This record gives sequence, C-alpha cells and structure tokens, in this order.
Amino acid sequence: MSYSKLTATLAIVSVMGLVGLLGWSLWNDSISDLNQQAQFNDGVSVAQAQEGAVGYPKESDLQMMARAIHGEARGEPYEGQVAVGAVIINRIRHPSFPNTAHGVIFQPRAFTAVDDGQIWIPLPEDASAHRAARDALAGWDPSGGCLYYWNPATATSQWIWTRTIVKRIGKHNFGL
Amino acid sequence: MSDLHDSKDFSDHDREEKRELKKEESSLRKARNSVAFLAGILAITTIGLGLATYNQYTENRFYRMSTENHYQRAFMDLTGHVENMELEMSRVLVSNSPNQAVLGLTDVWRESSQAATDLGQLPMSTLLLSRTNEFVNQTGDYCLTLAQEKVDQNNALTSDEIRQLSELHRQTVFLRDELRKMSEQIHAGQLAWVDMERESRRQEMQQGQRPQNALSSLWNRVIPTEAGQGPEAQAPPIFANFQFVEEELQKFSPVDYDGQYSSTIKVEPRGLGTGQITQEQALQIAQAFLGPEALQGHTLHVLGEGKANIDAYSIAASPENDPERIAINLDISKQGGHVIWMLSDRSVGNATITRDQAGRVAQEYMDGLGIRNLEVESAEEYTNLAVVTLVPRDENISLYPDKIKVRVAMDNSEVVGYDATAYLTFHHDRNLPEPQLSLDEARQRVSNNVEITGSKLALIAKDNYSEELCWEFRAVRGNQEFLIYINAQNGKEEQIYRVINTEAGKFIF
Repeated sequence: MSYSKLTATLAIVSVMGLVGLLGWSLWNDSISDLNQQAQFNDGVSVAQAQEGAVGYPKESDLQMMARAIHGEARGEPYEGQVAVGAVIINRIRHPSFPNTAHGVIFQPRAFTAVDDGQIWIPLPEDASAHRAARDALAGWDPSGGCLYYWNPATATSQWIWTRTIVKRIGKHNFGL
Repeated sequence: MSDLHDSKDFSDHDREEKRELKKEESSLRKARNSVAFLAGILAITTIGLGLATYNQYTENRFYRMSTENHYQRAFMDLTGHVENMELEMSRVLVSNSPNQAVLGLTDVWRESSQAATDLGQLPMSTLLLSRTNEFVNQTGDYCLTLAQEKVDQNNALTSDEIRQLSELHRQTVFLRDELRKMSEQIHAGQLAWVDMERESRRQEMQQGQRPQNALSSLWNRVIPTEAGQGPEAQAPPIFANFQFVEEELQKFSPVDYDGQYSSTIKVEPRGLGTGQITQEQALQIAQAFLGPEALQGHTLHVLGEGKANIDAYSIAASPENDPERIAINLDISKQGGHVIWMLSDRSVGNATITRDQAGRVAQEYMDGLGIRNLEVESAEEYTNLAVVTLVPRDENISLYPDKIKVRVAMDNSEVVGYDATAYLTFHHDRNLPEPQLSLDEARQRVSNNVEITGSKLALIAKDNYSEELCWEFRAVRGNQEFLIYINAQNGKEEQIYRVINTEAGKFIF
C-alpha cells in the first residue's frame, strides 16, 4: 500500500472515529448524568428517605439542602449560605410553598441551580454547604424569615422585583 | 549508427515524454485521489453529523414528551384533587354529627395536601402560584384544625363554622371551575406545557431586564407596554388563567383560625424590653458580647439593617488584614439592644471534648451572659461542632418555647454560634397556674403499652403558637423511646414525640 493511501485511510478512520465519538458522546451524555445521580441516591438509606417535616434532619433532606446551598451560594459568605438554607426552611413552613424539603427544592423555576443541574455537581466532603445546611436546620436564620433571594446583577425574572428587600448578604438580596 | 543514435534519441525523447506523461498522470491521479478523499470525508462527516442530529432529535423528543407528560399529569391530578376537595366539603356542610364531620374534614385535608404537591410541580414562577398555593394549604389546614376541635369537643359543626366552611367551599368551587376551563382548553387545542413554559421564560427574560444600557432601553421600547397591558396580557394561555385565579383568590379575605398555616396569627416578640438603640450602641453591644479575645485583630462594622421578624442591625467582625471577609456575623435588635443570633465560621480541628462537656460549656457561657436557670435539653453534634439547646426553667417547669441554642467548637471549647430568636420572641413572665392534675393523675392517662422512665412539668408550644402546661413523660416501648405530654389542666393527651437516637445526637419527631 502506498504512503498516500495509508495516510488517506488513516485520515478517514480518524474522522470516522471522531464523528463516532461525537455521536457516542451526544448519545451518552444524559446517561452519564443519570449515573452520577444514581451513585448519590445509593448513599441515602431507605428508612430515612420518607417525606418529612422540618425538625428531625433526615439524611436525604440534609444532602439535598447542602447540594442546593452549594449550587446556589458557593463562594458567598458563610452567613449567606446559611441564609439560603433558611429560605428553604421558611418556604417549607409557609403556606404559599410546597411542604417538604424536596418539594421546595425541586419546585420548577424556584432555584436556578436546580433548573440548570448545578445541584448535581460533585459536592466535596468538606464543603461548607454541609455545615450551612445543619446550622439552618438547627435554627439559625441570617435572612430573618425571608422567602426569596436573588442576585440583582443576574436576576432575569420581572416578578422578583415586586418583593420587598429585607437584607443584603454578599451578592444576594433577601426579601419577603 | 545514426539510426541507432536516432532511435536512441527518439527513445530518449519518448522516455522523457512518457515520464512527463506519467508525471502528469500521477499528479492527475493524486488530484483525483484527494478530491475523492475530501468527498469521502465530507460524506462521512455529513452522515455522521446527520446520525448524531437524528439521535439528538429522538432523544430530545423523548425527554420533551417525558417532561410534557409529567406536567400534564400534575395538572390533571391537581384538577382531580380540587374536585374531591369540593365534594368532601359539600358533604361536611350537610353533616350533623361529629363523626361524619371529622371523616369529611380529614378527607379535605388529604385531598388539599395532594393538590398542593401537584401545584408545586407545575412549571410556573413560584410567585405566580403564591396565593393559589396558600389557598389550597390553608383550606386543608383549616379543615384539619376544625377536625381536631370536633374530636375534642365531640359535637357537630356550629353555625359559625358552617358559615366559614361555606365561604371556603364557595372559593373552592371557583377554583374547581377555573381548573375545569383550563382542562377543556388543553384538551380542545394543542396546548403544550413545555411550549408555554418556554414562552413564559422568554418573556420573563425580556421584561426582567431593567433598562441598564442603551440597548436594553431600546429593546424595552420595541416591546409595546400600554397601560394595563403588563406581562400578564401576553402570558401564554394557561399561565394567564392562573394569573386570573391568583388575582380573584386575593380578593377573598383569609379565614380566621388557629392553625399551622393561618395567616391571621402574628407573633409579636415579647422578650425584647423597651427602648430603641442607635448604630453606635449596637456596635458597643457587639463588642462587649464578643469580647476582646475573639475580636483581637478584627474590626467591627455595620453590614446593614434588617426589617424581618425582629428589626435589627447586622454587624460583622472582619480581620484587619482582610476587611472583605466576614469572620463573625451577629444581629442586634433595635428594640432593647439584644443579640438575636451570632455565627462565626472558622475551621474546627478534632474534637477534644464530649457532647456532655459541650453542654457544660454552653451553660457556663449563658451564665456569663447573665441568663441563668437554664438546663441543657439536648446536644446535636456534626463536623466537630456541638449545637446545645438550653431551656429556661420557671421554678420546676421547663419552658420549651423559650429555647436558646449555643454552638460550641469541640476542639477548644470556644462558643462559635448563638441563637436566641425563640427566647426573645416568646420569653416573658407568664404567671403559670398551678397544675390541676397531680403527677399520679396524669400518669393514669398514659398508655399501658409503655414503661414510664421519667416525668416533669413542661410548657409546650402548639403549631399555632398557643402554649399548654403539661406533664411530660419519658416512656419506652421495646427499644423505642417517646415523650408523651398530658395537659396538666384538663388531662388531654396533647402531644406524642418519638425520640430518635442518631450518631449526631437525639432528635424528636
């Protein structure tokens, strides 16, 4: 086989490989996401995965709250992270919102980090979000009873500006 | 010779020509090869991309349908549960006995909590469904509260209760009819939730941008916004319908009742005392509270003012060499100048004290702050931090509503958090009455299926913040531990908690 033929074959094979890889990756990207979730779900014991009110911190509530806090407020001051957790708890207790931690966190359009999947990014064991979730469940509420928060620089919803701003922590406005 | 020479000449020439021809031929072949090669790549790439796109298309269609079906199901379930709420309420309204009233009322509560779950799955801004959600939750909560009262009093509905329930029933009929209209719209046309969601998201993005620059203000001018024609006028069909429901439900006044979700209960802080403080005073209070040791190398500054549950100044301590960082944060009430909560986030090393020792640290800390008579109720432990709950005692009565939390770093016994929100909200001189029931009389009312291991008098708070003086019994059944509360005035079994032991400490549920 001549040198040019060999090059052509190699080129075709590599292009096919590339296209195949592209197709394969497109085909598989969602599946690998699901695998990641499955791994996480395995860590939660069935006994504690029942629906529940605030008060007794179930492992699944804690995990999801820590993920939501990490997705929404990593890089924010610590009290800002606790405040995000407190908003979740204030919502559970308020009649205008779902009545469980999972209901509040997974409510469509409620949290950007849930809508764009950032809550599924790997959560480091030593992330401060774990402590923030615990402290919020234990009762600390730096937001002072707020139900909403938004980043004024990036908020896109017109609804949010109808809220009364109660407090500003880090980059977030907290409101009622 | 010359011939030979000639022929040699010729053959030389011929060979040269041939060589040239060969060269030409080979370059032609090369060109042809590379064209074929490129065409091949193009064909394969096109086929490859086509296949990938088709894959994406089918995948996308599959997930779109899954999402659409999920939304459709949530909406249809919602409609069904609201229909059932209406039916159950109408039956309760014609009942004339406590047992039928209680059965029907608890059914309304069950249907309403399912309706609330469905509402929480619809793809709309939480603010667009706020009042509808509240209505569904409050109606159910009202019915549950009423059912509990009927059990206690063992009577049929009174005329006042019938009047309130009829009003709620009328509003439920309105909601049901609106949901039916929306269902018809969905079934008649081809309204897809995913499309409506995309449309509303697009509109929110456009209208959410405040005019910050020339381009966005130009953009705002392009979109006509006449008076009375706000975003709702352009909202996708079902979203506009929900907006209408939301506005109509807002016109009804909330029902006055004592329950978990009642909006008529307002808790005014009772433990603040009198007198307003200034920012400067707040800074002084913070300085005295934290002490010179914790503040070494730090400066105190006011972060802002909060006007939430308790009006407060928010104060931060930042390291002198890193003024942007907040090392300690605390809120000080404007009225009375009390520290509401404090939180210090530092890395905590390995624990050198136990949970019990942390309890004693917390108690000493509170003694130092001048709040005495506190007993350690529980200690929760995580990542080398102990959160100790302390409860004040009024003579021999534990005042659970007035609890204080102290967060202790278990490496060096430093207090790194404090929360007195409940204490400042509820603590006051109550003048509690003498219990009508003796310990033995109350004990008679506890189930025979448990073994009682301890008892004391305690004040407990109910969902609606009302308080009851109770005899608390620690009880064991098998390997399960419970707290049982018997009302010390009327002997009613007020509350049963299960004590759950975990590695992190004891919790009640």
